[in-house]
Amino acid sequence: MSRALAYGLGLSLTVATLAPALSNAAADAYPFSTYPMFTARRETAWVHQALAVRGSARRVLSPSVVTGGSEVMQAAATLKRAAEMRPDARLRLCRDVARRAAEATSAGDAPPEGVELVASEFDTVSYFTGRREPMSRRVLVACTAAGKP
Amino acid sequence: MHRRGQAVSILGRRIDTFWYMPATASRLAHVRLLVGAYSVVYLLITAKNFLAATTFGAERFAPVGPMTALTAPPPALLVHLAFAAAIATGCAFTAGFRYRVSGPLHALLVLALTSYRSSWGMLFHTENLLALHLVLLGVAPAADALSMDALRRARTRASGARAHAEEVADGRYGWCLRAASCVTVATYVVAGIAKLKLGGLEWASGATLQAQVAFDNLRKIELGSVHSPLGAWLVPHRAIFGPLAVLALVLELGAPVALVGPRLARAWCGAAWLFHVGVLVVMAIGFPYPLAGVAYASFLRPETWRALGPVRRVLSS
Repeated sequence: MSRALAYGLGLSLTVATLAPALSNAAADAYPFSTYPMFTARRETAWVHQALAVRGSARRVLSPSVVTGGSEVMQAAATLKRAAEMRPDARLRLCRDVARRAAEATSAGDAPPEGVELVASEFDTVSYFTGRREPMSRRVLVACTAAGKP
Repeated sequence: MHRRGQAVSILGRRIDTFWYMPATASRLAHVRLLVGAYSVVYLLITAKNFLAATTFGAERFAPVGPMTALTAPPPALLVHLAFAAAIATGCAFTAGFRYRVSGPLHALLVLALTSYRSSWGMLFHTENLLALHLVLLGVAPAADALSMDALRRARTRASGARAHAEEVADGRYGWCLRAASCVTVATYVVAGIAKLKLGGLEWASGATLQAQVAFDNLRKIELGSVHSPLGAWLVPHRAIFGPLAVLALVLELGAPVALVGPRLARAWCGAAWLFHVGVLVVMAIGFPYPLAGVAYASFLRPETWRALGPVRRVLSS
């Protein structure tokens, strides 16, 4: 039994872990991954953000406000997926973020007037040599903390 | 014909010696102890993030792994119960208590929970290896020594016989360590191949790595998260990234050397650990399982580590 398990399970897991190397490297999965991170050359990058709006001022909201958790990558993935969502689902996400942003406002501070989910395009390397402003920005959806679009 | 038969037989024996390598019950038990303890601590530290997913909207559910069997996210109560069960079975796994049940159960729960966590649009590559190691350890006789099960059995046996049984090297204890090491090596090789498949040989020039470090830190700054000041400082220095990219590829594609012998295994594990330290320092991306060193325990001899002395005494007294 022990030998059969050793070869059956042990080899199966090893082969299954190696197998993604033969498939489309961009098609990732779990727990057998192609490990595609750090592979693409990203000279420009679209960053999906949630912004708190107050007058003409914009402030980036933290991952905990975006998802309710503190994982920055999960927040990034959530916002990226917002671009592909149906308009009603996108608006729902925006309102959730706006509600959490209002709840997260500390006493004495004014809550944001609204929230924008945006996609901003940056030049990745130039960003660190002084060009911090996005090359372009698209507003995916805007809503108010009170729930109005 | 006879000679060919002999060659096949020798090859078969070599494969068997490699795969079904003799190891002591104690060595396997130490690896169980480390991986189990890591699993429990990891679950506790990341509990908030695991359970935060229960508040996500169902439209965001993008199932992966075992979760693909579901068409909608599991109820929040079930996730909370599974999480509590994972902590409880994790403690039993680590202590080697009722291991025939707690071993596979903990492995399955962690696989299910980590799949659940990765089913919301973001795959957590930091959890693959832990989940796979737990599956292997969960079905292996990893609680034959240094465990509450072993203590219970020992009450009916002479202590001399017990100590002897723990020190006898046998393939039934070694295969799991070998398989865990092979799975670890495989993950690095696959990561190296992905870089060449998606980035081509140009990946070794360092330009892709430079842009990746820039992208990752930029994204963190713009998302209002912690970034790496060192990485941000390094980005404009293009020349640094060529050697770093080559080193990363050599480490990943050369990972199989760790299976050749203990000395090479130690050297590769050290290099891989430094690689993850580098990723942490330059990109603020932590792979806690390898950074804690636990991912490499199957390559090493944790039964000789003095730091584990107190635990050893408790579980073998």
